[in-house]
Amino acid sequence: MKKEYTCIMCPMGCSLTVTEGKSGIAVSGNSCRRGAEYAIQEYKDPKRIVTALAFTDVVNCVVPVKTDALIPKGKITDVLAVVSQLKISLPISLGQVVVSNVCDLGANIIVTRTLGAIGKR
Amino acid sequence: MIDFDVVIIGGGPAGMAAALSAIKQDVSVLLIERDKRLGGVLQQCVHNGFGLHYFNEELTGTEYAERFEQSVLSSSVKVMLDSFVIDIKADKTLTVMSAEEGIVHISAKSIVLAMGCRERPAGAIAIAGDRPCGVWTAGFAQKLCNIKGKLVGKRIVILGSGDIGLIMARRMTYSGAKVLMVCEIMPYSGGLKRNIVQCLEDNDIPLYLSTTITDIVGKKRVEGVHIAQVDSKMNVIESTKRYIECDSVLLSIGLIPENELIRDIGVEMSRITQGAVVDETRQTSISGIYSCGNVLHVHDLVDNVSREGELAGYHAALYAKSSEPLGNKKYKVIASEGVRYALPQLINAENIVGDGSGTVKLFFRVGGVYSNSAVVVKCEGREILRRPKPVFSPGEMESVVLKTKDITGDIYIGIENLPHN
Ligand SMILES: Cc1cc2nc3c(=O)[nH]c(=O)nc-3n(C[C@H](O)[C@H](O)[C@H](O)COP(=O)(O)OP(=O)(O)OC[C@H]3O[C@@H](n4cnc5c(N)ncnc54)[C@H](O)[C@@H]3O)c2cc1C
Ligand code: SF4
Repeated sequence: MKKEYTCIMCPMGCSLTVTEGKSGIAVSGNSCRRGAEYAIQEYKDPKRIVTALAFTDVVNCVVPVKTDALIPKGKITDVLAVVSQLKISLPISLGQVVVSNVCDLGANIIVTRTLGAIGKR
Repeated sequence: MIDFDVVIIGGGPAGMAAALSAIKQDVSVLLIERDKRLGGVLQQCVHNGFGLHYFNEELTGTEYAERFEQSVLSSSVKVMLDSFVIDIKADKTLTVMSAEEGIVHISAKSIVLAMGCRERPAGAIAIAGDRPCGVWTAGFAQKLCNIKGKLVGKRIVILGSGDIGLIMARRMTYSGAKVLMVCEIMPYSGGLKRNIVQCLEDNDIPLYLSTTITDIVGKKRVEGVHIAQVDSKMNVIESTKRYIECDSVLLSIGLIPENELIRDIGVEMSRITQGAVVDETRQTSISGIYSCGNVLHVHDLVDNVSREGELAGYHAALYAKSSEPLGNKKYKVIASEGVRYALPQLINAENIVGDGSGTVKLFFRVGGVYSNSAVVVKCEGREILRRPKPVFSPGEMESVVLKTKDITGDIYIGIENLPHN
């Protein structure tokens, strides 16, 4: 069994090949350790960090958020649905948790940009 | 007139890194930014994929920017926000229009240009039809969406497969719009492979290569577009023409360094990068004026932007302290077969500075897709470096590291096809 992937762990975009044989799973084409881990994960159970925008209590001002851990690719829509229901009060700081253990996936939704009370710094 | 040792224009990742590295040299540093906040284009980059090489962790653009912002604000760098540099003179005096202080004149010992780039506007390409409402650049749509939370449309066709277009294809999908397709006139994508995978393939958005929009339909508002394939000479193949109903078109057709400020002061420019010609310290043809980041050449990796900012900031600080110009003799770096450009374009002959480790890093982009090839660097007829790679593609900036001891004359960098075996 052989499958080709493009590593998305960084913008280098190495071309990875996963080969599964009797001796287990082997990865080639990666330039670093993260590439090998990614290929094996992608082969077994693809996962993503989800980034999204949440509404705030200030008009015309959204705050960027992300999951602080990888979640299964198939659950992205569920996570986006949760984020779309949020209304975050400003001010808020980088790294603050706005939803813990989202959809029971073991990841939190955290803020990725500090915003002051009027939507500015 | 206010005096500073080093003045940096632009508070994006390049400018912030330049400021932080200059201030370490015990000089006075002023960072001027026209926006209300530091961060540059990263403020609207809410997706992740930044910083893996610089911070060894994967951050969103906003997180990456905020780390630098915090370092700058807690340093002794003087920051002027809401301030637009409107003029630079070759004697290194600047005119700034500041929201708070009005017109300010500043004199610098050295200047770092870090103004970033802007998007090629709709007028830059030839599409027939009216120019109805609903045609946007991808970066503008990104700013509206990621900062104000507004979607430009519901059914979207994207023209151009540059990274901003790919990133926006996913963002618009996540935000509830239907992205119908990405059309790319070239036979290859202009964006990073990883963005094709995680932005298009993950969301089942088709990418049509060798395909373009021939005309936009709609009087007041976009109603649809005609798309068609093109042949190898870029001529539209009429029989492939079809109509696609949509309400918005996003253009992701490339970036241009924002160099208007220095057009008139005699800085030597490269026709290909549309940025200044620089040596390995990122000094331009005017001594004491340095350039880094997207205003110098369009980068795809912010990590490289930060490193280049540090390099320029460091040398600008040394220049301000000593005002001793490097020797005048410079070797040329010449892009040959297959290489569209290489940067720096010049290397100081007498006093090769490099990065201090006895090496000089050359960045380059290829002019087409080359598979089973090698990048080959020659100096005075000698081959000083050869690195094979399965694929070189124009969408990705490549680099090679040269040993300074090997640089004894002009450098030639090219791509060689490897024999198939
Ligand atoms: C949509 C998108 C996606 C990207 N994705 C990635 C990614 O996944 N990973 C990655 O590593 N990189 C990515 N990049 C690339 C990276 O963000 C850029 O290369 C980097 O931000 C460029 O930094 P800069 O400082 O040169 O320019 P900028 O960030 O553009 O900063 C220039 C600053 O100069 C200011 N300025 C300009 N002119 C003046 C003037 N006259 N007076 C005062 N101030 C002025 C501007 O306001 C601006 O703040 C992406 C870029 C975009 C646009
Ligand atoms: S293998 Fe390593 S270097 Fe290559 S794309 Fe993946 S993370 Fe980046």
